[in-house]
Amino acid sequence: MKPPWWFLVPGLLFYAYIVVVPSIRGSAYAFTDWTGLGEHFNWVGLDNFRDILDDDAARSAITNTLVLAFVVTAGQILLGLLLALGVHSRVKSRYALRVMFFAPVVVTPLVSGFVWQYLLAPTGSLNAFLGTMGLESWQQDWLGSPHWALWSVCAVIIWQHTGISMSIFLAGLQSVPQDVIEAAHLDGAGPFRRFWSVVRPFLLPAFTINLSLAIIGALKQFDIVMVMTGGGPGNASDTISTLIYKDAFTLGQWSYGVALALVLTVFVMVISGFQYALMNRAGRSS
Amino acid sequence: MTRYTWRTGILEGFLLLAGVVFLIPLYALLNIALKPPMPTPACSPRPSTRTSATSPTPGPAPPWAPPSATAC
Repeated sequence: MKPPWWFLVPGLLFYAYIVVVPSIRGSAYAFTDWTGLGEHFNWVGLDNFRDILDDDAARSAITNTLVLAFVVTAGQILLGLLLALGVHSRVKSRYALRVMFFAPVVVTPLVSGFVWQYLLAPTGSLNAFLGTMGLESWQQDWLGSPHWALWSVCAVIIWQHTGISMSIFLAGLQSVPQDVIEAAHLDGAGPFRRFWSVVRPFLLPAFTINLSLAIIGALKQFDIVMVMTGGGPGNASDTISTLIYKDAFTLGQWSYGVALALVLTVFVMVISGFQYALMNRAGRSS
Repeated sequence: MTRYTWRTGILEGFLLLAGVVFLIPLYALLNIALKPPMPTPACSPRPSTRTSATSPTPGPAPPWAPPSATAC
């Protein structure tokens, strides 16, 4: 028997009280000049949003956020898929390998940021290793150079989250019927043809989940960036999240920070909605 | 079901190498966590806030001074 709809009402009311109402009330500050202190503020309309368009730091943060989201999503999904295919094969150490690749996920992002900051320091282990291998010309100030800082942060985020993508793909791979793959094998399909024509359609739900999680996670990325570079040097690795923190809590521009947060929310909604619709269409067509 | 061939062996070696590379930062984390702390002096001389025009060097500690101040 289907339960009556009004069973949902207490849960919905609770959700509205602790999530929806505070979010809407907080968003209203984006249209004021409130500094975060005191009770007095004035309505300024869309001035904060106009300031975002005129602010070089905000434009740089938006660009960095989009680059980071694209690179991290692509890297995480590609590497996760390759690792899942690898540990789903007949290799004897596949169970140990799954643990090894998943291990970074259980480390707190803050801690992994500090460890990587230690490894990527100018006198850190990576440069020492490159020097030992005779590759002194490859040594860089990985976190202090405006050219390398954002890429270093991307690499660390990919390292941290690839294990999750691998697990989701692995679950998808284990749901592929073995007899279908064997039938394709008997029909003479090679490994790439078997993957593309047989395995890939079964992995579409895993792709959808992975894409959503990776894009939303990358767009909201804060802690690793803040720990490793603090958004620097200059604004070279600033993301929208780190800029919100700096503006709202360091510079006392609360309303500007809220406006940036609204921009980030719109980005997350539009991009994840677009990719979800795209994957749904791909799922229906296959 | 595919057998364990030389290709599987190469894949296994490659994956183990990738796994070791993945674990290097965790090894560094454990190494940092288990490193003995930097040796710090058990007690450091307390900087004197009083200045005396007649005796620039501090004299012997008075008998009522706490033991931590006289231990160094």
